[in-house]
Amino acid sequence: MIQCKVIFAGLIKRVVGTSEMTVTLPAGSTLGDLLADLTARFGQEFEDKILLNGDLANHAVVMIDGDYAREVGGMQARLDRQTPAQVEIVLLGPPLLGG
Amino acid sequence: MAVALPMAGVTEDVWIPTACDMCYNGCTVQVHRVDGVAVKIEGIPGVGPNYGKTCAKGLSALMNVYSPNRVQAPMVRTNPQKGVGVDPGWKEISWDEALDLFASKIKAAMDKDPRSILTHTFDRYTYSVAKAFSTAVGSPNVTMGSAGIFCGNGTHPVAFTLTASNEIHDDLKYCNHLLMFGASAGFVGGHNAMGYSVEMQDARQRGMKLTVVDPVLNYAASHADEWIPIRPGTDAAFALAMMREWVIVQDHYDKTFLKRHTNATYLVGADGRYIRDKATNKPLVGIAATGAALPFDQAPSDEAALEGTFTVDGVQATPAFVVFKKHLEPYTAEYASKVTSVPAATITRVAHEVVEAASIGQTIQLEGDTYPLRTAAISWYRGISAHRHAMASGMLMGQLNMLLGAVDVPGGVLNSSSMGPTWRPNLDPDGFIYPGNPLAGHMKPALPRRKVSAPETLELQELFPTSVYARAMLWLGLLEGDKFGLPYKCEVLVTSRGNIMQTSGDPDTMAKAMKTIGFIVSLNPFEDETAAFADLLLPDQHSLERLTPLVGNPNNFTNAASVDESGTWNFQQPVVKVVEKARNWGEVLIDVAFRAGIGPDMNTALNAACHITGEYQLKRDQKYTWEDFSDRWTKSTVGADHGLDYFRKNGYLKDEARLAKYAYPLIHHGGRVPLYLEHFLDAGVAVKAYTDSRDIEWDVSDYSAVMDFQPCLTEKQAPAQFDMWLVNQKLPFMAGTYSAENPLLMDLAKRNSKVFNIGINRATAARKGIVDGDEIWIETPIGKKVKGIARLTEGIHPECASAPGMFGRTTAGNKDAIGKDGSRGVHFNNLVQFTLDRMDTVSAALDSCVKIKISKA
Ligand code: SF4
Repeated sequence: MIQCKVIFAGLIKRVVGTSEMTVTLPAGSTLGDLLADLTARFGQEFEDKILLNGDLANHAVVMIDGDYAREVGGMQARLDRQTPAQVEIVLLGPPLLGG
Repeated sequence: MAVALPMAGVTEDVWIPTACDMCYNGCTVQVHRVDGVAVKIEGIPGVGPNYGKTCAKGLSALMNVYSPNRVQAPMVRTNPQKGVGVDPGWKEISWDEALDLFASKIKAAMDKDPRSILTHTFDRYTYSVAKAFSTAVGSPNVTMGSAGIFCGNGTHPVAFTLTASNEIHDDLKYCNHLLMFGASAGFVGGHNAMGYSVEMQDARQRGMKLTVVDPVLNYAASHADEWIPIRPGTDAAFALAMMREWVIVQDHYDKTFLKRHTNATYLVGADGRYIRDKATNKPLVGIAATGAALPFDQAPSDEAALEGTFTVDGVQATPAFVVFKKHLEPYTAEYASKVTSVPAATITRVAHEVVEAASIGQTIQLEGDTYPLRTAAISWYRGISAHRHAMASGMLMGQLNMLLGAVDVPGGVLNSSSMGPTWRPNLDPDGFIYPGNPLAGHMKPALPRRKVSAPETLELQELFPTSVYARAMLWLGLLEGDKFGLPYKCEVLVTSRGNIMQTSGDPDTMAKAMKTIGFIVSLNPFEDETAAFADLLLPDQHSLERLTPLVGNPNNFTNAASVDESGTWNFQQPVVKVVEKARNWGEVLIDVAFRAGIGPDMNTALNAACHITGEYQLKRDQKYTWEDFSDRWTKSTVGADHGLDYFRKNGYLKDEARLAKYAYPLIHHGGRVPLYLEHFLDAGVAVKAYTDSRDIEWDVSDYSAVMDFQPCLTEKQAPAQFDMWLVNQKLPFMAGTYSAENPLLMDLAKRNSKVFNIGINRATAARKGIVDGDEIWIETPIGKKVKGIARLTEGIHPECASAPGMFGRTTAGNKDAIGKDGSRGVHFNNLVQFTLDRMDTVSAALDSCVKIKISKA
């Protein structure tokens, strides 16, 4: 089993109603599995905020043990690299755009 | 870099490298400091992104640092009545009291609804900190306001569409004919203003032809081979007529580009939607030779048909290009001439010249790869965006480039933020590119498709699924948010280095919107018009006083190095002693976050917003100094050897020269761009369904797969006596409202009546009995009336008058900028009608078509 400490920051905190929680997942679980678990707990609004077409939405930043999920496998990133895993889920505001 | 050169009686004489802050391009400059006093600013020879050049604004930055009119200490309002010109009754308080008050308001708003906190700035350099603050409080409301109201609405969504980056720039290395609509890039305007101006100068000396279409003989037009005066808001008709010329009359356009790199071959049915493969759900293309229909990624692109009819499972379908071509039919040069006032022969000639110059079919070898060489391109900016149909007009500009095949190839328009070894676009299921840069992973392009939902943002962004932002809607969200289903009101506005009262439309409307906000904190060096609504006014540092990491970044759109050129990293460092109580506003936000009990989330958000990695990441439970944070961010981004110490000593770092494969990624990324905007159709249906459900009248006519010309409302509604347009004209030495706070720049403007006064065509003026230097009244149909001085010129369309720059400051912050003569110039935005029917409901642009009548005062 994988123990996973999940920290929520930004707009997502309002959706989940907490700033951190611990989730236990089967061995070999990935970020995709964790997000599916959280969607089951917090409903469609959670998924709508985090995912777009089944992948991480552009404004959703997820860090797994300090690494950016997009750079370590995205939805397939494994969560068993450290015990307990620490996953930070941040919903960012809009980007800076010129003019 | 700081070199001591003592002279007689002088104990210190040094040049200190830093980054300019007088617009948001971040040019690398050096400041001459003598005995602790900054006395001169200039470029560093050869150093980018500005190639050692500095514009008049940059040279003038000294003026305000020593101004006695700066905000000197934290102050709290005692007069509850708010408004420009109303004395707030400021009472000085300590920083501690001020920050506790600030934090208590943030906490109270978070308890009510964190989304009710709005952070606003036009400070590009500290935007990531503002975004982190907004994220930490739990609000989606962080905005740059300002230019997003008139400027980039018809540009950024198109840039994403063409290049999966938020900005495009023209490849002046290889372009031989640049056709520019309503823009100033290359003439000390736009992004990388100085660097691009140097490249423009080189291109012009090489022989690149420049044609400028604009109502005003602006700075670009005055340096061009040809200036084509056009009626405001009609560029779309010009573009459509050019495309008709290429596609229907001459059959001269880049068919290979369309087949390989767009959706022109995708089959569409009677409802305009793609015909999709039943098994894979991929859009189908028709194969001309066999009549078969195959998923687009299983068919050889060059064999896919651009024309013809296909039958798929008994359903008739045509390539999208057939629909595109058909919709061009009515747009003859004669039709466009009536709309634009440009002679039909001119439109046709320009169309021929540009397509001939594009060298369609030619290739070039670079670094061992064969690239299409397209030596003509179309460039556009604010002139296209500041209209009721900004999205449509901008997309048409993009389509001109697509028909030339001039996208992300030598000589064409290029992505300007996605460069570098880390860049790769992602492909959506239909084969279209979208940003894949981890540094830009949070951007909001139209593809992959976004959902329309009940608004959660004050700018109602959720109702703009194909736009990148909706900044101009802020007033509507503030005043009428509940009508749109917004579940809260704005409780706190945090604003710094941006003046929304002056840069939005009609200030009276904006003032009403500002008065709905519970508590406003303004962090500013000067008390500007927006600060007139503040409850708490905090003194911000001047650019020559502050430490700001990573101002210049080779991966940023303001750097945009061309092939073989290097991007530049730079930063801002304190050059002079900070005036006693001024603080860096980014540092203040971090302090307030900790006081409000959200320090750990602020650190997490800073990591995410700044992409801080590895050992440099901020730990959640630790408070860092601004210096430490800056050092960590810099080392994480540029490398362990290039922290603050490196930059303090050297000022800047040149990146490696840009390789062709990054400058010209089209042939490498394998993705497509949509010529046919099929994704707009469902977006429009969804927006209509939502707005109908709330009984809101909302124009969805521009949610079309093919873009048409539609006139602005002003043209349809203004009574006949309002027979002229007032247009706004960009000046190279004015950027943002803070230029009009600078006494030197204002003096420069006033001494030059050619730019300070109201331009009127000489023949038009003669008909109205107006002579050069006359005082005139300018009146609008909604009763707005301002006085100006007439300047007669041939350099303006006969139906227009021009109001230059960002003048007409009411409080001006620094009263020395207004000067003893009291003249302020005309505030163009004051005359712009700020109502929903004047806004582009697709891109959120505000129409700056202002119909006027003029008379002698
Ligand atoms: S272009 Fe902008 S950043 Fe560069 S010198 Fe001029 S004002 Fe400064």
